[in-house]
Amino acid sequence: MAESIEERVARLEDLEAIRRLLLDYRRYLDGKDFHAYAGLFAVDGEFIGGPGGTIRATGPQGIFELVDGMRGTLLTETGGDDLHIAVNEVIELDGDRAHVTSTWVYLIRGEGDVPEVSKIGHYDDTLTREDGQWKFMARTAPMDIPAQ
Amino acid sequence: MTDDVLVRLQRLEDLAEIERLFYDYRRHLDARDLHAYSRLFCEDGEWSGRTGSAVGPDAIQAMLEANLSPNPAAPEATSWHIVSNPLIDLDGDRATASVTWTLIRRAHGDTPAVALLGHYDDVLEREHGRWRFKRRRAHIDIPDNPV
Repeated sequence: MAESIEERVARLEDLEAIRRLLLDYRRYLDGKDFHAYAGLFAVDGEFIGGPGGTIRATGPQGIFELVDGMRGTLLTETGGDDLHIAVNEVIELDGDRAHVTSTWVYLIRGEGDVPEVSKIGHYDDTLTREDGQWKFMARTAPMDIPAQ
Repeated sequence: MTDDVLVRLQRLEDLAEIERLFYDYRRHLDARDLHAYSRLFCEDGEWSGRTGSAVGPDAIQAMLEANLSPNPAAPEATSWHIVSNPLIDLDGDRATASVTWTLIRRAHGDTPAVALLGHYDDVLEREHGRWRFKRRRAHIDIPDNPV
């Protein structure tokens, strides 16, 4: 049976809301607003990164503590010295769940105060609709260059 | 009234599907899934660029298999395309578009380096209800003489 107009509009709205989630993620991350960042994860949402997925945390509070601890190591100490560009998202909707892949590029203020492409990687995401909002159920963030 | 809304809705769906086509293109290309990549072209779709030109999915797949170096799965992969700034003009079951692309490559010392910048000139067509490439021309803008 053909989709109703309402279903077709809802599909476009879901795609747009998910794109916004991906953009908010990088905005809060680069703005060092780690509470807002962690709030993009579901109550039992999970972040998985690092070699072999060894850097991980569950739930907004745990994820806040993890990313706050990256200051000065995996992230710069202050905002404005690093930037994530998130691009080329492929979104597969499945009711109140979605699977998304996208690419990230990490730039930093390099030597001589010039922008430097520092790393490139990708995201594998499972999203869930929680209280009407799309949230990260699991975000896996493997790094591709340099090799881990 | 309803017809008008349906036309507007179809336009938004077309734009979303064409943008998705661009992202599937770079995804399959970097994963070297050249079969899936070639099926993004119309039955008489044409790809042309520095490595030559070919018409139809089978010929496009064969051309890339002959010319493309392998790009094994990450973290071994050596290059990544990023496509950006899609400009899409719809005209019923046809569309024209331009898209910029950046190739990032694993350089000495296992660091990412921007190797090539270019753009695509596209003609798209709705074939069997799906948007496909009718013609994709891949241009390299920087450098003038790529290695």
